[in-house]
Amino acid sequence: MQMISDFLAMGGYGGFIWSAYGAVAVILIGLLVISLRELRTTSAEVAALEANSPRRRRNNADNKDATS
Amino acid sequence: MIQQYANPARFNRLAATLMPWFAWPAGILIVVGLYFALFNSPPDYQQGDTVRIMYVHVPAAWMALFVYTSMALSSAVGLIWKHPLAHLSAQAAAPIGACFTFVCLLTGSLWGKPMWGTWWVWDARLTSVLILFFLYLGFMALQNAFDDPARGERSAAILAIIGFINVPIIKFSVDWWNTLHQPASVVKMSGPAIHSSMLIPLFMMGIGFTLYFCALLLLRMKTLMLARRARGMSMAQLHQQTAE
Amino acid sequence: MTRKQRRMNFIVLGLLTLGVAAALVLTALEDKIVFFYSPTDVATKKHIPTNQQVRVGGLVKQGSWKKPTNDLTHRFTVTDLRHDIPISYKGIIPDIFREGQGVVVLGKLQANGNFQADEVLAKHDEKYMPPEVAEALKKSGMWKHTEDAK
Repeated sequence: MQMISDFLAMGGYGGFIWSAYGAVAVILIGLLVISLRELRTTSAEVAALEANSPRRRRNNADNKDATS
Repeated sequence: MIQQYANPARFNRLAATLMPWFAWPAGILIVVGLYFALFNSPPDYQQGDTVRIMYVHVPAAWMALFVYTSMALSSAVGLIWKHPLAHLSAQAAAPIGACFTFVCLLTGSLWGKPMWGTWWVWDARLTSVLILFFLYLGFMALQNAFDDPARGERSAAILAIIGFINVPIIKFSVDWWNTLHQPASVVKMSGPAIHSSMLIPLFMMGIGFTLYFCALLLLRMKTLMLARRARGMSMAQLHQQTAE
Repeated sequence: MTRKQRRMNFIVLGLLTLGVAAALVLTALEDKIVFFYSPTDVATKKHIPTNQQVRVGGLVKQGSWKKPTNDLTHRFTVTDLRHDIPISYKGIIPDIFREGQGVVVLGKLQANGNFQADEVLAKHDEKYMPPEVAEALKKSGMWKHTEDAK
């Protein structure tokens, strides 16, 4: 128990050290989560658009924009 | 028009192959690095346990500069060779770089208060890093400031290249002027001034952060490419509807 | 010359011009970017304002730190090994404030040459090591003092 509280206290600088590490975790994990969510919503959007336009396939092949 | 969609299939294949090589080592290195940083590294002879802030502050500062450099380089490639993936990579990198710069400023402040006795001073090092943060924000804002995405891309690329001048200023600010911030400890002529028991976890975190950036960059580029595709498709559909 | 080459030359030339311009501006602003003056600056430069707050930085002279008795005032000398400035400061001193260590003080130079500080910031060097290693280095005489006060 003493060991844990000593570790958390960090020689009296615990407040500074743990807020620094906490902020890093929140920012870096947050950015990852946001990026993953953006990827999911955008893929869903593209899938919906593709499903929405059967005639689009022909155009696509003409333009070669999605495949080349 | 054809150039805008340069090889999304090939890029996606490459990204899918590379992703596990970035993501897994990044996670493992950061977790092991954190163990060393928090449990298994000694306190500093002067700064005691606050030196542990170094293991996140310094890698974040390296990344802030590294990501900006990559952004300026891809912007130049985008302007010169008009490679469509280049602007995309700069655009994907900017928010990551901004986050690293913010982490650097925040952890620096949390380290400065107990050691220097202040959260913030306007010395050359701190001020130039704050400018770097605003350059990232400006880049992102400029990109979305035009109706024509191609124009936004080009203006933002020019800003990124001009702002690159700040990178050597940040690096050498502690040598050119007197500052409250101490001179470089790791990347300097006479070799690192950090004991190996602290240098090893520092490098682990540094490499971990770099791989985290690489993985996130690929992921964000994929998203941007899909978004561009969605934009093109919805415009084509709109066009079709009006034509009918 | 192809258009690619022209664009490349434009960017390279632009960056060079910008670099030169930035160097010129920064050189011109040298005095403004200075974060603190050294005791030698204070002793030799006439144009350091006496009625306005300035920052002075250097090392805390060995043996000069007198901790507060009942007036809560710290007294110490800041030196750059050529000139000294006596400082008095009423307030809390940072944890790593030590004799022989770097320090930056903000305050006013009094007419009598004494410096009345309103803020004391500690400056540390770029060396990081465990306490045992520092102890061993000092014992073996391998300890090198950095010229923090430069």
